[in-house]
Amino acid sequence: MLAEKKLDQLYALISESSHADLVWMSGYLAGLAAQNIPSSAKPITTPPVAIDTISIVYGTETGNSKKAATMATTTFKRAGMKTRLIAAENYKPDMLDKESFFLLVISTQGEGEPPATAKPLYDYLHKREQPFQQLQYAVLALGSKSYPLFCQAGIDVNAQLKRLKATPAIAMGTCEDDFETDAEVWIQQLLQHIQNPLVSTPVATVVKKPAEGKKVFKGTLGSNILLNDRGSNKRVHHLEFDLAEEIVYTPGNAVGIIPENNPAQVARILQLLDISPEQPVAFKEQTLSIEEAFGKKITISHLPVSTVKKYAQWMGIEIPETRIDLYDLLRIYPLQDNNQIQGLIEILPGITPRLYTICSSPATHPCQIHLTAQVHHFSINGDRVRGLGSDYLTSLKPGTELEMFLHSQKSFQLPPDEKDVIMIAQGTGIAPFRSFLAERDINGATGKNWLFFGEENRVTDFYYQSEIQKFVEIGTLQQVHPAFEVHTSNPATVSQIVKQQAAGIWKWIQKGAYVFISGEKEPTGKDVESALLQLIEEQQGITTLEATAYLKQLQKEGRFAKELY
Amino acid sequence: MKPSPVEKIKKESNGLRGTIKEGLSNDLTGAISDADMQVIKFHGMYLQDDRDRREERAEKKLERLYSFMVRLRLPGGVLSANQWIASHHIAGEFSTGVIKITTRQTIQLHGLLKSDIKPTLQAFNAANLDSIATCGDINRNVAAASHPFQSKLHEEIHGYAQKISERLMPKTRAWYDIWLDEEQLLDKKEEEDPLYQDRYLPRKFKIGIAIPPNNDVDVFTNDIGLIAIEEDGKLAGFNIAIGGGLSQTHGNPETYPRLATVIGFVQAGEPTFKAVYEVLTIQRDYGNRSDRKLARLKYTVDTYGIDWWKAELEKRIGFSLEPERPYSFTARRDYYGWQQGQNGLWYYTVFVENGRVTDDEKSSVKAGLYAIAQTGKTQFRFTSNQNVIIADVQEKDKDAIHSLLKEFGIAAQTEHASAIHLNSMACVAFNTCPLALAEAQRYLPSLLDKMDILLKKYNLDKEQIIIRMTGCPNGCARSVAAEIGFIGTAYGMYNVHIGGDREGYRLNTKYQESQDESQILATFDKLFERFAAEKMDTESFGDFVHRVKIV
Repeated sequence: MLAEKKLDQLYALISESSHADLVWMSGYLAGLAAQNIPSSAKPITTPPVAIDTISIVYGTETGNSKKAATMATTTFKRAGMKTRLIAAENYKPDMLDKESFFLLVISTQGEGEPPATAKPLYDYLHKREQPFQQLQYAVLALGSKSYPLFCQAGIDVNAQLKRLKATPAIAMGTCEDDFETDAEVWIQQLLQHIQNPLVSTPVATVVKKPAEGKKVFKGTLGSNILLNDRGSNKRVHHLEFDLAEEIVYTPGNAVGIIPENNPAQVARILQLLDISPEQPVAFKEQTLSIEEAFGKKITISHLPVSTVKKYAQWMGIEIPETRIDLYDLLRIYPLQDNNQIQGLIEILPGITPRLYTICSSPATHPCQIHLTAQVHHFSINGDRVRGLGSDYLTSLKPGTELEMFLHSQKSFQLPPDEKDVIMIAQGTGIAPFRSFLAERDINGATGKNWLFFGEENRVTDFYYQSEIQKFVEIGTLQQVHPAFEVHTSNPATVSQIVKQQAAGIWKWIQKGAYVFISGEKEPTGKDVESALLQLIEEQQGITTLEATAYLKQLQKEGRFAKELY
Repeated sequence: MKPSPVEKIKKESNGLRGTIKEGLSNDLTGAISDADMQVIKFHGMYLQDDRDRREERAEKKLERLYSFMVRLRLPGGVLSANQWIASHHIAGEFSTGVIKITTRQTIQLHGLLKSDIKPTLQAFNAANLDSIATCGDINRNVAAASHPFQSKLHEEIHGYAQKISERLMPKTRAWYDIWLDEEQLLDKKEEEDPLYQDRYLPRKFKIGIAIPPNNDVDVFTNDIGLIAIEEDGKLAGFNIAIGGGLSQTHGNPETYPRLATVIGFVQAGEPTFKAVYEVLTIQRDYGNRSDRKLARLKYTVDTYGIDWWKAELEKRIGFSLEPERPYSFTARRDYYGWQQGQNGLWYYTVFVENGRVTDDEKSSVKAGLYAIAQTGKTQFRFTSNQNVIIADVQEKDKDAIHSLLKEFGIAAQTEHASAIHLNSMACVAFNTCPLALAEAQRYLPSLLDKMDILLKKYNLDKEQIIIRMTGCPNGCARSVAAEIGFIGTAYGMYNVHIGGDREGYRLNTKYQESQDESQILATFDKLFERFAAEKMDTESFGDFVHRVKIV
């Protein structure tokens, strides 16, 4: 163990370091260690006390964390280790003092929250004051880069464990939606570390580049239509991209798109810095012009609080905790000179890809990808601002060529043609169902289809209304239940309509129907799921617990799937 | 002959209920089913859509912007001040905000979404107003001479309009059932309808009552026209005319406009009601139910002949029609500004261009009428020329009302409008009427401005020429019963009709086909030039072109 003073210095260093810094340091130190130069450097991990059993705890919402935890379990078992796989809701936090090795696999929901099932554990770690005596741990965080608070629940838990003097075996791993590859790599690293802690590999975590399955391709924007009519409070666009080549995808898949910053905003920053747009800078082992870096690679608007904090520390100044645009940050707290620009770039977060569910059908719309994108607004310091990704995408002009990559969401897929399907959508959640319906229509699928769709205004916000009417007319869609709040004689939310239709839905489920929910998690996703639970409970005459188990079973069988964001 | 599909819909409508209730709660569409579209007409509504928005909505993958037009039942066109206030608020809350005065003395609102219908009708009901049978194959709003200043009979005649309307109402309680959630009667016998049975009429049916010498209701354009005959200062009875109707179809020579034929005189009171009622039963039994284009009473009259009709009617009413009594119409217009009625009360006729009560840059008619209604010192009477009369004003309140008329620019609008503006009418047409081939109310004012320049050029700007425009040949604004009629054939194109008389005895004749604005103006430049040069003293433009055989 390091002396406390050294340890404090190290923690101080760590707390000031970016993720990239840590990766570099861990590699550097590991390298030093491997060269047997113990006097000048030490690894950040301590030699483990004997590991008896690895407890693998997962907190999951969609089942992905469970899958990753299962992968880890299998890996360690094969390596001859004792493992214990436990769902977070079944894990008693006071067990932590008895663990020799604790592996937590945790996803992030909504605004950086842990899954509901992991909330008690999450809260326990935040409230606990007493340091752990000998706990070794590792955290594998799952998240979606479509959102600013990527893997936040994992980051929080990791920080709390550190604060409580638990010992990280290797740096936290992070996985995107398509988590399998990333998780696999990280688990192997962890295994290696546990088996031989002093020769851990320099690159500890995170596969940043698209995995092999992530096929990158280009699409040319054919049309970009605002679906909402005049008078709507929403701005949802329908975009159609023409592809030069056929891309193999299935209904329910998504594409990832890396948005670019507003050129005017970039120009303002360059002007403020009084620097040539051609000025070369380094970004992630790549040299490019500062204009390109700010335009396409680096986040410059609504910088997260952590970045602002980092900047303040780096500059050695006081800045209040806030989200702020880079332009304003540099205007109010200017750099001392332009030699600091490279340092600045290393502090700033990169632009992350945004995922959009495809709303076209491979069979009906060959060589095309259609997307449904809502201009996302959120509030920063009381100002209403637009999300970068949706703002970028919905502002694109026809003719623009765009790079995207395919992202498969394996649990969200059409069942065989003869199966019945219940589709419950809120807002842009209609996207995968437009794909489903078009696909089932063209394939002459014999299974019945039932669509629930919720939005605000019947007159202005009924996305794909004329197509849905067509599917009803030609007999592809047997039942449609829209739910609107305005311009309807029955104002209701989609979950209320689901409740109204409980008996019918139950009949369909009993006959083997597949149930899909798509849309915003809060509040619709949650409400619809509880409406489903309630109808199972009531229709079947069982307890809430049994209904939950029933729904879980459906989920396991692939008959219940959610795509919530 | 196979009955038209609408006949089946009426029969199977369960007393005009159809599946309207179910349709109202179907949020997949803002429309209703094709069958219910027919049924809902009997409740005073048309399903329409905003034709200006069709392409834009289609691109957005949205269905058409469907909405409903609702028309009130106002026999004789009278509203109390409180009812006007209620209508003002209802229009603002649920419709486009414009209150449209129709050519049949009632008001209608446009742009009601499906979910707005019930609250609208409930609000109207609370103001003792309804929309029963103002559209559909049934007797519609009964029109009656609007202005009391020329005749003592005025009030009595309005009583006839009211009674005829009530006697010819359908017996079904469907309107109350659907729109007011009134409980359905268990005993269907109470809804049995000896007049309409379960088939209603073959086509729409209109009744108007005129008091000579003014033919402001255009009495001969009605299926039944009643002409009040005054003898010794009392109402003796009515000359009864049948078979008027103006609608025709482009390219269908079997269709034609027709003015009603006077078939005799009936005594006031019960004989009049009976005669009117039985004309309806004959039309019910003999009207064409297979071809809706040939189903109006005018075709039944011509198919069976006047003699047969008289005989059949006398058989049904059980008494003989008396010979037609003498009468004379000298005008067919509204008298703008202040007039004193025979009852001593004061009346101000407001010019409302094409009946659109709204506020714009020029004047604040809607705000002004609202302010006037709030005084509680007036009634409102609508005219068959789409205007409104501030009615029944006491001598002592006249000045106060007049200062309001001035304050809101209403007096100026009425006093400064040109003669042809004051005597013109246009139907709704675009953007809501599904039948429109060309613009009407949105276009006519600007065309009239250009025609005014021509009239001034020949010093004819005081001529009270009746000019009417319709966006299709169905004649809602009675374009074939005008001195100059424009009938839309395609967007921006109109057939030009001339030669109708000023009193309403003679229809006009088609003069030119499918003309655009520049052609129209060139035509009238020549016609007005010749009219100015060759007209006799008080000869009207319509009579002139007829006399010199231009048409």
